Amino acid sequence: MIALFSKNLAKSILPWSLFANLAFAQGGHPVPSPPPPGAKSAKCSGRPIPQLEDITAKTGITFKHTSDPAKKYIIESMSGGVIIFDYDRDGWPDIYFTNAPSVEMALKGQKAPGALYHNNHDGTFTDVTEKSGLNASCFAMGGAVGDYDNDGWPDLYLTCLGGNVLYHNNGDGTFTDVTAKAGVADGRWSTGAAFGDYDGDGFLDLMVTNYVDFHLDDLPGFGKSPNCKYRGIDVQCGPRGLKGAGDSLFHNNGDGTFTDVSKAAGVSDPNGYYGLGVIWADFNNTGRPDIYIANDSTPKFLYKNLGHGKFQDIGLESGTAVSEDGSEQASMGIAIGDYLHTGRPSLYVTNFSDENDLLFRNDGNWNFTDVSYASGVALPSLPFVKWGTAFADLDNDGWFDLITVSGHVYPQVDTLPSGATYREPKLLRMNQKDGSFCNASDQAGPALLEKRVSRGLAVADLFNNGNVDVVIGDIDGAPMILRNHGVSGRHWVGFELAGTKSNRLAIGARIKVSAGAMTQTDEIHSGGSYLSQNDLRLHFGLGAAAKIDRVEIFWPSGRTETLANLAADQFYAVLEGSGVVPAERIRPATPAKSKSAPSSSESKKP
Amino acid sequence: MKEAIEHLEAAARLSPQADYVHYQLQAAYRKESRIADADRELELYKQLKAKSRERTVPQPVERP
Repeated sequence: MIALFSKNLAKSILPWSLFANLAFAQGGHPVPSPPPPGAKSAKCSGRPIPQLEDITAKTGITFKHTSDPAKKYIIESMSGGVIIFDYDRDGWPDIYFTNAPSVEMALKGQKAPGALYHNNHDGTFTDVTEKSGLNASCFAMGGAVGDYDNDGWPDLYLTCLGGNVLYHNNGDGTFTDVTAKAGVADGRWSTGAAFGDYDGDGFLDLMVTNYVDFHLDDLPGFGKSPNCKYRGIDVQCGPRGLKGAGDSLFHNNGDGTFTDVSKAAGVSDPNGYYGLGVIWADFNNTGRPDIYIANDSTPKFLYKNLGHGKFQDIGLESGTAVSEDGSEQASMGIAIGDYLHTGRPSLYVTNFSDENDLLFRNDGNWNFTDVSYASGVALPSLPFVKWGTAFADLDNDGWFDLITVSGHVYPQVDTLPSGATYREPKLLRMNQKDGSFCNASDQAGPALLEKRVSRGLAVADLFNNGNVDVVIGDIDGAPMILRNHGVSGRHWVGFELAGTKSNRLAIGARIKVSAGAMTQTDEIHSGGSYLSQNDLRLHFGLGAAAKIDRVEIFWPSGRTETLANLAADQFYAVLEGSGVVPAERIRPATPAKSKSAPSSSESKKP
Repeated sequence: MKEAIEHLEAAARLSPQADYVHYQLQAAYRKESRIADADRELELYKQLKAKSRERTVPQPVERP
């Protein structure tokens, strides 16, 4: 189907492309290409769709993102990250929501702290922000999780306007701001962040993207120039027309400090593209993590890790910088997953409205093919401004599905007579196991249809019941916790890894699971989505297979470990070099450990 | 892919200033391992894209 699509595309290139790359008819937004001839999207039918229930009101989570309803400045439209991490290592994922003040509040010196919620193991969460010390807030966007000092406690890095913050996890429910000692403040308007060990020394390095050169004492005037218009109405300015800000790579020195190696490594972004989502992933199974960056309104970067501390941007050569027709999009979020069971991670990128989301199929040897329309994911995405996204096996059939959240940047679009609306629904696409996806956005319950202004998205099995749940951050208020009711009778397995020679949280480790007739691969990632962090445990749906035949773990250190004949429907703790161990062995022992902790073999069938 | 390349080469001859044609042609060449041809077309795409940016350079935003 996809080959035929490419042939038709080439035949029709001239009429189709006449629309491309014309004038900036939407103010700061170029006119996008129309869908190619024959573009289709199928609705899901004849298969069970997992119901995603909004349980926010029952969870005790009362956090609301601070908001200025007018959104006169671009800085007020971009926050809303969701960080899922088990900060107390009790085996249950906790949640941190980032927050940011309005410009008016910030100019008055007022803060808007984020919130840390502890998972109570019973479907509810408790706000522990004050005790945690995470309430000394910056103008926060998003963040990432990594154990930079390998003490076993996941640390939190927050991206902010005017200075990022690295919080060291003390292991007793509290965090300490160690930014000054670590040297990772950056100081610009940072958005995306991700930890990854690019040089294989066992210590996590840190990549940070910056968006726009923005200063609270030099604000761009609302509606004041052609770049501050959208379909004829006044809106906030940017990013076009504003200066970009470059990116940063911080090398971990292994002693609690980092060195800015951005320029020497070749990832400083001297042209100032508008950086948002970022993720490390080993795209060509070299054992070295590469970097992918979603840039707004400019080409995306794929930095190939050349070794010896050097990277090369091969975005255009690899086919991942722009769309199939060579157009640059306003890209926001990133999902990575082996949705085709090829053993290679493919890329999904979210974009602005009228620009389709992009699915770049990884064909190996640094070649990617834009299969967005051919796979059926593009068409349903066109009307919306898309942000957080994840590949997640929501129905445990062993194949990655796709979930994406939306919400416009301009509240003023609601005054337009037709077309875009400020609040937008979410998208759910189910994997059809043949390289295509069907649209199930209106079949998973009312929560996905509720129109909101969403930004961050992260996934985790929040309740350790074998179903991957979804947490969504909104820019204008309350988040949404979506409990996945799954599909009954399907099996699963979860892995929590700990490195010894590799970094302690095993970020960058790849797991290959063979069960029944399926072989799936996934990798532990820091960062990704839109300014968000998924649970670091890896989850695999197994369909009808109640037993796992073989598990191969490719550790960042280069070691390969093989496990065999594991029972399904439970979590396994794996210590590098020691195989499956009780969870207690991979979790650090400090005062926080005195809390009730489930063992690694504790499990519940979905 | 060979047929697609023929169509794209024809499109490039008809519309040599169309950056997107050169982008697609380089992608097609790359899939056929014609790397030198791909790199040449990619360079053309980059040059045309740069010219296009110059023509549509966004006006700086005014400060109040």
